[in-house]
Amino acid sequence: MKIDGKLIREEARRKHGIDLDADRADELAREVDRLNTATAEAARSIGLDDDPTVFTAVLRGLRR
Amino acid sequence: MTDDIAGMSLTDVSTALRRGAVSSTEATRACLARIESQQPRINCFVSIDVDGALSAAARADEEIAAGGWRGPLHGVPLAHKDMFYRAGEVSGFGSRICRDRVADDTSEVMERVDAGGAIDLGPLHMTEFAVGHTGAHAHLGSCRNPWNTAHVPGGSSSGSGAAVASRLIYGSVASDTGGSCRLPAAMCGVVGIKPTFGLVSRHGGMPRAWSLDVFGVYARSVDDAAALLDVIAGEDQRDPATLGSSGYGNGGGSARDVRGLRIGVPVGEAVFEAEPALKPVLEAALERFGSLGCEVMEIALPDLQTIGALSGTVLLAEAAAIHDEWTREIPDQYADSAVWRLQQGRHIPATRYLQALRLRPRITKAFVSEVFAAVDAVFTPTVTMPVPDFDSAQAFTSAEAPEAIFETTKCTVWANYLGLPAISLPCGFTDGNLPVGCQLVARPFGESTLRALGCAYQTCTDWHLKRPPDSDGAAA
Repeated sequence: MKIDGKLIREEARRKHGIDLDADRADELAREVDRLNTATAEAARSIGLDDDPTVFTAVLRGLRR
Repeated sequence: MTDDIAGMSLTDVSTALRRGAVSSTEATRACLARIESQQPRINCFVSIDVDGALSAAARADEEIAAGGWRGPLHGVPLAHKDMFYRAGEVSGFGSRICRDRVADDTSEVMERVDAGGAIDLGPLHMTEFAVGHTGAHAHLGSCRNPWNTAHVPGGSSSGSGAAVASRLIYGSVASDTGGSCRLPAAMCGVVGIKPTFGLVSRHGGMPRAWSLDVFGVYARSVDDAAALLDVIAGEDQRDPATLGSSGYGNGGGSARDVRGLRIGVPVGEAVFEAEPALKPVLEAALERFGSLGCEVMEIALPDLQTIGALSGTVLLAEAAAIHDEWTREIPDQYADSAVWRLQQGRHIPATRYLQALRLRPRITKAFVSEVFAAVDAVFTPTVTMPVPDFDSAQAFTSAEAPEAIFETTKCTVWANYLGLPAISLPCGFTDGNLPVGCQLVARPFGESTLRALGCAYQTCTDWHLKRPPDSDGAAA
Protein backbone atom coordinates (compact mmCIF):
# COMPACT_ATOMS: atom_id res chain seq x y z
CA MET A 1 0.00 0.00 0.00
CA LYS A 2 1.29 3.43 -0.93
CA ILE A 3 1.93 5.57 2.13
CA ASP A 4 1.04 9.20 1.62
CA GLY A 5 0.75 12.29 3.74
CA LYS A 6 -3.01 12.08 3.84
CA LEU A 7 -2.92 8.61 5.39
CA ILE A 8 -0.34 9.66 7.99
CA ARG A 9 -2.33 12.77 8.81
CA GLU A 10 -5.59 10.85 9.20
CA GLU A 11 -4.00 8.29 11.45
CA ALA A 12 -2.39 10.97 13.60
CA ARG A 13 -5.78 12.60 14.05
CA ARG A 14 -7.77 9.38 14.57
CA LYS A 15 -5.37 7.49 16.83
CA HIS A 16 -3.46 10.24 18.58
CA GLY A 17 -5.72 13.25 18.44
CA ILE A 18 -2.87 15.17 16.80
CA ASP A 19 -3.58 17.67 14.07
CA LEU A 20 -0.50 17.05 11.96
CA ASP A 21 0.69 19.76 9.62
CA ALA A 22 0.21 18.69 5.98
CA ASP A 23 3.81 19.45 5.06
CA ARG A 24 5.07 17.46 8.02
CA ALA A 25 2.81 14.52 7.12
CA ASP A 26 4.11 14.57 3.55
CA GLU A 27 7.72 14.51 4.77
CA LEU A 28 7.07 11.60 7.10
CA ALA A 29 5.25 9.70 4.37
CA ARG A 30 8.07 10.24 1.88
CA GLU A 31 10.62 8.85 4.28
CA VAL A 32 8.54 5.78 5.18
CA ASP A 33 7.84 5.15 1.51
CA ARG A 34 11.56 5.44 0.70
CA LEU A 35 12.43 2.87 3.39
CA ASN A 36 9.66 0.45 2.42
CA THR A 37 10.58 0.66 -1.25
CA ALA A 38 14.30 0.18 -0.64
CA THR A 39 13.64 -2.79 1.64
CA ALA A 40 11.28 -4.39 -0.87
CA GLU A 41 13.86 -4.04 -3.62
CA ALA A 42 16.63 -5.49 -1.48
CA ALA A 43 14.36 -8.33 -0.41
CA ARG A 44 14.32 -9.72 -3.94
CA SER A 45 17.64 -11.34 -3.12
CA ILE A 46 16.39 -13.09 0.01
CA GLY A 47 16.64 -16.85 -0.10
CA LEU A 48 14.63 -19.45 1.76
CA ASP A 49 17.40 -19.97 4.30
CA ASP A 50 18.05 -16.34 5.21
CA ASP A 51 17.53 -16.51 8.95
CA PRO A 52 17.76 -13.27 10.98
CA THR A 53 18.54 -15.10 14.22
CA VAL A 54 22.05 -16.07 13.11
CA PHE A 55 23.25 -12.46 13.08
CA THR A 56 25.32 -12.58 16.28
CA ALA A 57 26.82 -15.92 15.24
CA VAL A 58 27.80 -14.34 11.92
CA LEU A 59 29.51 -11.47 13.75
CA ARG A 60 31.47 -13.88 15.92
CA GLY A 61 32.45 -15.82 12.83
CA LEU A 62 33.82 -12.66 11.21
CA ARG A 63 36.14 -11.69 14.05
CA ARG A 64 39.84 -12.07 13.53
CA MET B 1 44.18 22.71 42.05
CA THR B 2 40.53 21.66 41.83
CA ASP B 3 40.48 22.38 38.10
CA ASP B 4 43.80 20.58 37.68
CA ILE B 5 42.38 17.41 39.18
CA ALA B 6 39.18 17.57 37.15
CA GLY B 7 41.25 18.16 34.03
CA MET B 8 43.29 14.99 34.43
CA SER B 9 42.64 12.05 32.18
CA LEU B 10 40.74 9.04 33.54
CA THR B 11 43.83 6.88 33.41
CA ASP B 12 46.01 9.55 35.08
CA VAL B 13 43.55 10.19 37.90
CA SER B 14 43.18 6.44 38.36
CA THR B 15 46.94 6.06 38.72
CA ALA B 16 47.03 8.98 41.16
CA LEU B 17 44.22 7.42 43.20
CA ARG B 18 45.97 4.10 43.40
CA ARG B 19 49.23 5.73 44.50
CA GLY B 20 47.47 7.96 47.02
CA ALA B 21 48.58 11.14 45.28
CA VAL B 22 44.92 12.17 44.92
CA SER B 23 41.98 10.90 46.96
CA SER B 24 38.64 9.97 45.49
CA THR B 25 37.08 12.58 47.74
CA GLU B 26 39.34 15.24 46.22
CA ALA B 27 38.58 14.09 42.69
CA THR B 28 34.86 13.97 43.39
CA ARG B 29 34.86 17.41 44.99
CA ALA B 30 36.81 18.74 42.01
CA CYS B 31 34.18 17.39 39.61
CA LEU B 32 31.32 18.65 41.78
CA ALA B 33 32.88 22.12 41.80
CA ARG B 34 33.09 22.01 38.00
CA ILE B 35 29.48 20.86 37.82
CA GLU B 36 28.33 23.69 40.09
CA SER B 37 30.11 26.13 37.81
CA GLN B 38 29.07 24.69 34.43
CA GLN B 39 25.67 23.03 34.91
CA PRO B 40 23.77 26.33 34.69
CA ARG B 41 25.58 27.02 31.41
CA ILE B 42 25.35 23.68 29.62
CA ASN B 43 22.57 21.77 31.45
CA CYS B 44 24.13 18.34 31.01
CA PHE B 45 22.95 16.71 34.26
CA VAL B 46 19.37 15.67 35.01
CA SER B 47 20.20 15.61 38.73
CA ILE B 48 23.35 15.61 40.85
CA ASP B 49 23.84 13.20 43.74
CA VAL B 50 26.28 15.19 45.89
CA ASP B 51 25.82 13.26 49.14
CA GLY B 52 25.78 9.85 47.49
CA ALA B 53 28.90 10.64 45.48
CA LEU B 54 30.86 11.94 48.47
CA SER B 55 29.86 8.92 50.58
CA ALA B 56 30.96 6.56 47.80
CA ALA B 57 34.20 8.48 47.40
CA ALA B 58 34.94 8.19 51.13
CA ARG B 59 34.38 4.43 50.94
CA ALA B 60 36.64 4.19 47.91
CA ASP B 61 39.37 6.08 49.76
CA GLU B 62 39.13 3.67 52.69
CA GLU B 63 39.24 0.62 50.44
CA ILE B 64 42.20 1.86 48.41
CA ALA B 65 44.09 2.86 51.54
CA ALA B 66 43.47 -0.63 52.93
CA GLY B 67 44.98 -2.20 49.81
CA GLY B 68 41.65 -3.09 48.23
CA TRP B 69 42.13 -1.38 44.85
CA ARG B 70 39.46 -2.78 42.54
CA GLY B 71 40.76 -1.60 39.19
CA PRO B 72 41.07 1.44 36.94
CA LEU B 73 37.64 2.86 37.79
CA HIS B 74 38.01 2.65 41.56
CA GLY B 75 37.24 6.04 43.04
CA VAL B 76 36.89 7.70 39.62
CA PRO B 77 33.91 10.09 39.24
CA LEU B 78 31.72 9.19 36.26
CA ALA B 79 28.14 9.86 35.20
CA HIS B 80 25.96 8.05 32.71
CA LYS B 81 23.14 8.62 30.28
CA ASP B 82 19.79 8.61 32.11
CA MET B 83 18.70 5.30 30.63
CA PHE B 84 20.41 2.65 32.76
CA TYR B 85 18.29 1.03 35.46
CA ARG B 86 19.29 1.01 39.10
CA ALA B 87 17.00 -0.98 41.39
CA GLY B 88 14.90 1.36 43.51
CA GLU B 89 15.98 4.47 41.61
CA VAL B 90 14.40 6.54 38.86
CA SER B 91 15.62 6.24 35.27
CA GLY B 92 13.81 8.93 33.37
CA PHE B 93 15.01 8.34 29.79
CA GLY B 94 14.84 12.08 29.17
CA SER B 95 11.08 11.77 29.17
CA ARG B 96 8.06 13.15 30.92
CA ILE B 97 6.35 9.74 30.79
CA CYS B 98 9.04 7.92 32.79
CA ARG B 99 10.30 10.78 34.94
CA ASP B 100 9.05 8.97 38.10
CA ARG B 101 9.65 5.42 36.90
CA VAL B 102 11.49 3.41 39.53
CA ALA B 103 13.51 0.47 38.19
CA ASP B 104 13.21 -2.92 39.87
CA ASP B 105 16.51 -4.22 38.53
CA THR B 106 20.01 -2.90 37.93
CA SER B 107 21.55 -2.91 34.47
CA GLU B 108 24.57 -5.08 33.78
CA VAL B 109 26.70 -2.08 32.79
CA MET B 110 25.89 -0.24 36.03
CA GLU B 111 26.63 -3.40 38.03
CA ARG B 112 30.00 -3.56 36.33
CA VAL B 113 30.99 0.08 36.89
CA ASP B 114 29.75 -0.17 40.49
CA ALA B 115 31.74 -3.35 41.05
CA GLY B 116 34.73 -1.51 39.63
CA GLY B 117 34.31 1.12 42.36
CA ALA B 118 33.39 4.07 40.14
CA ILE B 119 31.67 7.09 41.68
CA ASP B 120 28.33 7.98 40.05
CA LEU B 121 27.62 11.71 40.13
CA GLY B 122 24.08 11.49 38.72
CA PRO B 123 22.09 10.84 35.53
CA LEU B 124 23.01 12.75 32.40
CA HIS B 125 20.83 14.61 29.93
CA MET B 126 19.56 12.68 26.91
CA THR B 127 17.04 13.42 24.21
CA GLU B 128 13.53 12.12 24.89
CA PHE B 129 13.65 8.30 24.75
CA ALA B 130 16.87 8.77 22.73
CA VAL B 131 14.88 10.20 19.82
CA GLY B 132 16.63 13.15 18.19
CA HIS B 133 20.19 14.08 17.41
CA THR B 134 20.65 17.64 18.58
CA GLY B 135 20.20 17.86 22.34
CA ALA B 136 17.24 20.22 22.02
CA HIS B 137 14.71 19.19 24.66
CA ALA B 138 11.12 20.22 25.31
CA HIS B 139 10.91 18.78 28.86
CA LEU B 140 14.37 19.06 30.43
CA GLY B 141 15.54 22.20 28.71
CA SER B 142 18.18 21.86 26.05
CA CYS B 143 21.68 20.62 26.79
CA ARG B 144 24.21 23.00 25.23
CA ASN B 145 27.54 22.65 23.54
CA PRO B 146 30.31 23.71 25.97
CA TRP B 147 32.39 25.15 23.11
CA ASN B 148 29.62 27.62 22.34
CA THR B 149 26.27 27.41 24.07
CA ALA B 150 24.46 28.81 21.05
CA HIS B 151 25.24 25.48 19.38
CA VAL B 152 23.85 22.00 19.91
CA PRO B 153 25.86 19.27 21.66
CA GLY B 154 24.45 16.51 19.47
CA GLY B 155 22.34 13.59 20.63
CA SER B 156 20.97 11.44 21.85
CA SER B 157 23.69 11.17 24.51
CA SER B 158 23.90 14.95 24.78
CA GLY B 159 24.90 15.10 28.44
CA SER B 160 27.67 12.52 28.04
CA GLY B 161 29.43 14.49 25.32
CA ALA B 162 29.01 17.86 27.01
CA ALA B 163 29.97 16.71 30.52
CA VAL B 164 33.09 14.81 29.46
CA ALA B 165 34.26 17.70 27.26
CA SER B 166 33.73 20.22 30.09
CA ARG B 167 35.82 18.19 32.56
CA LEU B 168 32.82 17.58 34.81
CA ILE B 169 33.43 13.82 34.74
CA TYR B 170 36.17 11.52 33.46
CA GLY B 171 33.97 9.25 31.38
CA SER B 172 30.44 8.11 30.69
CA VAL B 173 28.49 5.05 29.61
CA ALA B 174 25.86 5.77 26.96
CA SER B 175 24.02 4.06 24.09
CA ASP B 176 24.20 4.08 20.31
CA THR B 177 21.37 3.02 18.00
CA GLY B 178 22.23 5.18 15.00
CA GLY B 179 25.16 7.29 16.19
CA SER B 180 24.47 8.42 19.76
CA CYS B 181 27.91 7.49 21.09
CA ARG B 182 29.58 9.25 18.16
CA LEU B 183 27.56 12.34 17.21
CA PRO B 184 27.86 14.19 20.56
CA ALA B 185 31.48 13.01 20.77
CA ALA B 186 32.25 14.67 17.45
CA MET B 187 30.26 17.81 18.22
CA CYS B 188 31.75 18.24 21.72
CA GLY B 189 35.33 17.24 20.86
CA VAL B 190 35.72 13.99 22.81
CA VAL B 191 36.13 10.28 22.08
CA GLY B 192 33.08 8.06 21.65
CA ILE B 193 33.17 4.31 21.07
CA LYS B 194 30.28 2.27 19.70
CA PRO B 195 31.29 -1.35 20.32
CA THR B 196 30.50 -4.38 18.23
CA PHE B 197 26.89 -5.54 18.64
CA GLY B 198 27.04 -8.19 21.35
CA LEU B 199 30.22 -7.02 23.10
CA VAL B 200 28.38 -5.17 25.91
CA SER B 201 25.24 -6.41 27.64
CA ARG B 202 22.11 -4.38 27.08
CA HIS B 203 20.30 -5.89 30.02
CA GLY B 204 18.69 -3.20 32.12
CA GLY B 205 18.95 -0.34 29.69
CA MET B 206 16.17 1.54 27.92
CA PRO B 207 15.52 0.03 24.51
CA ARG B 208 15.44 2.35 21.50
CA ALA B 209 15.49 -0.44 18.88
CA TRP B 210 16.66 -3.82 20.17
CA SER B 211 18.29 -5.03 16.99
CA LEU B 212 20.49 -1.95 16.66
CA ASP B 213 21.11 -0.83 20.25
CA VAL B 214 24.58 -1.08 21.74
CA PHE B 215 25.96 0.48 24.90
CA GLY B 216 29.24 2.32 24.52
CA VAL B 217 31.48 4.88 26.17
CA TYR B 218 32.65 8.48 26.18
CA ALA B 219 35.98 9.79 27.44
CA ARG B 220 38.56 12.41 26.51
CA SER B 221 41.26 10.05 25.30
CA VAL B 222 41.19 6.72 23.53
CA ASP B 223 43.03 5.07 26.42
CA ASP B 224 40.43 6.40 28.84
CA ALA B 225 37.56 5.17 26.68
CA ALA B 226 39.19 1.76 26.29
CA ALA B 227 39.66 1.47 30.06
CA LEU B 228 35.96 2.11 30.58
CA LEU B 229 34.95 -0.21 27.76
CA ASP B 230 37.11 -2.98 29.23
CA VAL B 231 35.04 -2.83 32.41
CA ILE B 232 31.59 -2.95 30.82
CA ALA B 233 32.34 -5.50 28.06
CA GLY B 234 31.76 -9.21 28.46
CA GLU B 235 29.26 -12.02 28.51
CA ASP B 236 25.98 -11.71 30.35
CA GLN B 237 23.46 -14.54 30.48
CA ARG B 238 20.70 -11.92 30.51
CA ASP B 239 21.68 -10.65 27.05
CA PRO B 240 22.08 -13.64 24.73
CA ALA B 241 23.77 -11.47 22.08
CA THR B 242 26.84 -11.29 24.32
CA LEU B 243 27.29 -15.04 24.72
CA GLY B 244 30.59 -16.13 23.22
CA SER B 245 32.02 -12.60 23.11
CA SER B 246 34.40 -12.84 26.05
CA GLY B 247 38.02 -12.28 25.25
CA TYR B 248 37.31 -10.46 22.03
CA GLY B 249 36.95 -6.91 21.00
CA ASN B 250 37.51 -4.93 24.18
CA GLY B 251 40.38 -2.56 23.98
CA GLY B 252 42.53 -4.31 26.59
CA GLY B 253 46.27 -4.54 26.33
CA SER B 254 48.84 -1.95 25.43
CA ALA B 255 48.67 0.23 22.35
CA ARG B 256 50.44 -1.37 19.40
CA ASP B 257 52.34 -0.27 16.35
CA VAL B 258 50.01 0.93 13.60
CA ARG B 259 52.57 0.94 10.80
CA GLY B 260 51.20 -0.98 7.87
CA LEU B 261 47.58 -0.84 8.98
CA ARG B 262 45.39 -0.07 5.99
CA ILE B 263 42.87 2.75 6.28
CA GLY B 264 40.18 2.87 3.62
CA VAL B 265 38.62 6.15 2.53
CA PRO B 266 35.26 5.56 0.81
CA VAL B 267 35.05 6.75 -2.77
CA GLY B 268 31.98 7.44 -4.80
CA GLU B 269 29.78 7.90 -1.74
CA ALA B 270 28.06 11.28 -1.58
CA VAL B 271 26.98 10.63 2.01
CA PHE B 272 30.58 11.03 3.21
CA GLU B 273 31.17 14.29 1.34
CA ALA B 274 32.03 16.80 4.07
CA GLU B 275 31.12 20.45 3.84
CA PRO B 276 34.02 22.75 2.89
CA ALA B 277 34.56 23.95 6.47
CA LEU B 278 35.41 20.42 7.57
CA LYS B 279 37.41 19.18 4.61
CA PRO B 280 40.87 20.54 5.52
CA VAL B 281 40.50 19.21 9.06
CA LEU B 282 39.60 15.72 7.86
CA GLU B 283 42.32 15.73 5.22
CA ALA B 284 44.87 16.70 7.88
CA ALA B 285 43.72 13.80 10.05
CA LEU B 286 44.21 11.39 7.18
CA GLU B 287 47.66 12.81 6.50
CA ARG B 288 48.51 12.25 10.15
CA PHE B 289 47.54 8.59 9.89
CA GLY B 290 49.73 8.39 6.82
CA SER B 291 52.66 9.92 8.71
CA LEU B 292 52.19 7.27 11.39
CA GLY B 293 52.92 4.63 8.78
CA CYS B 294 49.36 3.66 7.96
CA GLU B 295 48.56 2.89 4.38
CA VAL B 296 45.75 5.20 3.33
CA MET B 297 43.83 3.97 0.31
CA GLU B 298 40.52 4.40 -1.45
CA ILE B 299 37.83 1.80 -0.89
CA ALA B 300 34.36 1.24 -2.34
CA LEU B 301 31.73 0.36 0.26
CA PRO B 302 29.08 -1.96 -1.20
CA ASP B 303 25.33 -1.40 -0.79
CA LEU B 304 25.74 1.57 1.51
CA GLN B 305 22.48 3.29 0.54
CA THR B 306 20.56 0.05 0.92
CA ILE B 307 22.18 -0.58 4.28
CA GLY B 308 21.15 2.88 5.45
CA ALA B 309 17.55 2.26 4.39
CA LEU B 310 17.44 -1.17 6.03
CA SER B 311 18.77 0.37 9.24
CA GLY B 312 16.01 2.98 9.11
CA THR B 313 13.36 0.34 8.48
CA VAL B 314 14.43 -1.66 11.54
CA LEU B 315 14.76 1.43 13.72
CA LEU B 316 11.36 2.91 12.90
CA ALA B 317 9.51 -0.40 13.18
CA GLU B 318 11.02 -1.40 16.51
CA ALA B 319 10.64 2.07 18.03
CA ALA B 320 6.99 2.19 16.98
CA ALA B 321 6.37 -1.18 18.61
CA ILE B 322 8.10 -0.13 21.85
CA HIS B 323 6.08 3.08 22.07
CA ASP B 324 2.82 1.82 20.57
CA GLU B 325 0.71 1.97 23.71
CA TRP B 326 1.97 5.33 24.95
CA THR B 327 1.79 7.04 21.57
CA ARG B 328 -1.82 5.92 21.29
CA GLU B 329 -2.95 6.65 24.85
CA ILE B 330 -0.84 9.58 26.04
CA PRO B 331 0.65 11.21 22.93
CA ASP B 332 0.50 14.62 24.59
CA GLN B 333 3.17 13.44 27.05
CA TYR B 334 5.76 13.37 24.26
CA ALA B 335 7.34 16.33 22.54
CA ASP B 336 5.69 16.70 19.14
CA SER B 337 8.93 15.90 17.32
CA ALA B 338 9.30 12.61 19.22
CA VAL B 339 5.74 11.39 18.79
CA TRP B 340 5.81 12.10 15.06
CA ARG B 341 9.02 10.17 14.71
CA LEU B 342 7.80 7.28 16.84
CA GLN B 343 4.53 6.85 15.00
CA GLN B 344 6.23 6.72 11.61
CA GLY B 345 7.14 3.08 12.11
CA ARG B 346 3.49 2.05 12.16
CA HIS B 347 3.59 2.34 8.41
CA ILE B 348 6.42 -0.16 8.04
CA PRO B 349 4.64 -3.48 7.31
CA ALA B 350 5.79 -6.49 9.37
CA THR B 351 6.93 -8.09 6.12
CA ARG B 352 9.30 -5.23 5.34
CA TYR B 353 10.66 -5.17 8.89
CA LEU B 354 11.38 -8.88 8.83
CA GLN B 355 12.91 -8.67 5.39
CA ALA B 356 15.30 -6.00 6.68
CA LEU B 357 16.32 -8.33 9.50
CA ARG B 358 16.58 -11.39 7.26
CA LEU B 359 18.97 -9.56 4.95
CA ARG B 360 21.22 -8.49 7.80
CA PRO B 361 23.45 -11.58 8.31
CA ARG B 362 24.11 -12.05 4.63
CA ILE B 363 24.73 -8.38 3.86
CA THR B 364 27.03 -8.11 6.89
CA LYS B 365 29.00 -11.17 5.87
CA ALA B 366 29.42 -9.91 2.30
CA PHE B 367 30.34 -6.38 3.42
CA VAL B 368 32.91 -7.48 5.99
CA SER B 369 34.43 -10.10 3.70
CA GLU B 370 34.87 -7.59 0.91
CA VAL B 371 35.81 -4.41 2.77
CA PHE B 372 37.91 -5.77 5.61
CA ALA B 373 39.87 -8.05 3.33
CA ALA B 374 41.15 -4.86 1.71
CA VAL B 375 41.50 -2.53 4.72
CA ASP B 376 41.78 -2.71 8.50
CA ALA B 377 39.56 0.31 9.15
CA VAL B 378 37.28 2.64 7.21
CA PHE B 379 37.73 6.40 7.71
CA THR B 380 34.81 8.83 7.37
CA PRO B 381 33.66 12.08 8.89
CA THR B 382 31.48 11.43 11.94
CA VAL B 383 29.24 14.28 10.82
CA THR B 384 29.63 16.03 7.48
CA MET B 385 28.40 19.46 8.60
CA PRO B 386 29.71 22.01 11.11
CA VAL B 387 28.04 21.84 14.52
CA PRO B 388 24.70 23.59 13.99
CA ASP B 389 23.42 26.34 16.24
CA PHE B 390 20.04 25.97 17.91
CA ASP B 391 18.33 28.23 15.40
CA SER B 392 19.39 26.18 12.40
CA ALA B 393 18.71 23.00 14.39
CA GLN B 394 15.04 23.99 14.34
CA ALA B 395 15.02 22.00 11.13
CA PHE B 396 15.25 18.90 13.28
CA THR B 397 11.84 19.53 14.76
CA SER B 398 10.16 21.10 11.78
CA ALA B 399 8.86 19.81 8.50
CA GLU B 400 12.38 19.03 7.30
CA ALA B 401 13.02 16.62 10.18
CA PRO B 402 13.47 13.35 8.24
CA GLU B 403 15.96 15.00 5.90
CA ALA B 404 17.75 16.73 8.77
CA ILE B 405 18.01 13.49 10.74
CA PHE B 406 19.32 11.73 7.65
CA GLU B 407 21.94 14.43 7.20
CA THR B 408 23.14 14.08 10.78
CA THR B 409 23.25 10.30 11.01
CA LYS B 410 24.13 9.26 7.47
CA CYS B 411 27.78 8.58 8.36
CA THR B 412 26.97 6.52 11.44
CA VAL B 413 23.81 4.40 10.94
CA TRP B 414 25.38 1.83 8.64
CA ALA B 415 27.71 0.60 11.40
CA ASN B 416 24.66 -0.15 13.57
CA TYR B 417 22.93 -2.27 10.94
CA LEU B 418 26.17 -4.17 10.28
CA GLY B 419 26.95 -4.48 14.00
CA LEU B 420 30.45 -3.07 13.49
CA PRO B 421 32.61 -1.27 16.09
CA ALA B 422 33.26 2.42 15.47
CA ILE B 423 35.09 5.26 17.17
CA SER B 424 34.77 9.02 16.82
CA LEU B 425 38.00 10.92 17.42
CA PRO B 426 38.36 14.68 17.89
CA CYS B 427 40.51 15.85 14.98
CA GLY B 428 40.33 19.63 14.88
CA PHE B 429 38.08 22.66 14.79
CA THR B 430 36.20 24.72 12.27
CA ASP B 431 36.86 28.46 11.97
CA GLY B 432 34.16 29.05 14.55
CA ASN B 433 36.15 27.05 17.13
CA LEU B 434 33.68 24.19 17.11
CA PRO B 435 34.98 20.59 17.15
CA VAL B 436 35.22 18.23 14.20
CA GLY B 437 35.24 14.46 14.59
CA CYS B 438 36.43 11.68 12.33
CA GLN B 439 35.12 8.13 12.47
CA LEU B 440 36.98 4.85 12.13
CA VAL B 441 35.04 1.62 11.65
CA ALA B 442 36.54 -1.87 11.95
CA ARG B 443 35.52 -5.48 11.41
CA PRO B 444 33.40 -7.23 14.11
CA PHE B 445 35.23 -7.31 17.46
CA GLY B 446 37.97 -5.13 15.96
CA GLU B 447 37.95 -2.67 18.88
CA SER B 448 41.65 -3.30 19.49
CA THR B 449 42.40 -2.03 15.97
CA LEU B 450 40.40 1.13 16.62
CA ARG B 451 42.16 1.59 19.93
CA ALA B 452 45.58 1.19 18.35
CA LEU B 453 44.81 3.70 15.61
CA GLY B 454 43.20 6.15 18.02
CA CYS B 455 46.01 5.95 20.56
CA ALA B 456 48.64 6.41 17.87
CA TYR B 457 46.77 9.43 16.51
CA GLN B 458 46.53 10.97 19.97
CA THR B 459 50.25 10.52 20.62
CA CYS B 460 50.99 12.98 17.83
CA THR B 461 48.01 15.34 18.10
CA ASP B 462 46.57 17.33 20.99
CA TRP B 463 42.97 17.87 19.91
CA HIS B 464 41.78 15.66 22.77
CA LEU B 465 43.60 17.92 25.27
CA LYS B 466 41.80 21.10 24.18
CA ARG B 467 39.39 22.41 26.81
CA PRO B 468 36.19 24.26 26.06
CA PRO B 469 35.84 27.71 27.63
CA ASP B 470 34.07 28.05 30.98
CA SER B 471 32.06 30.98 29.71
CA ASP B 472 30.90 32.11 26.30
CA GLY B 473 33.24 34.64 24.80
CA ALA B 474 36.20 33.39 26.87
CA ALA B 475 39.28 32.06 25.11
CA ALA B 476 39.57 28.29 24.99
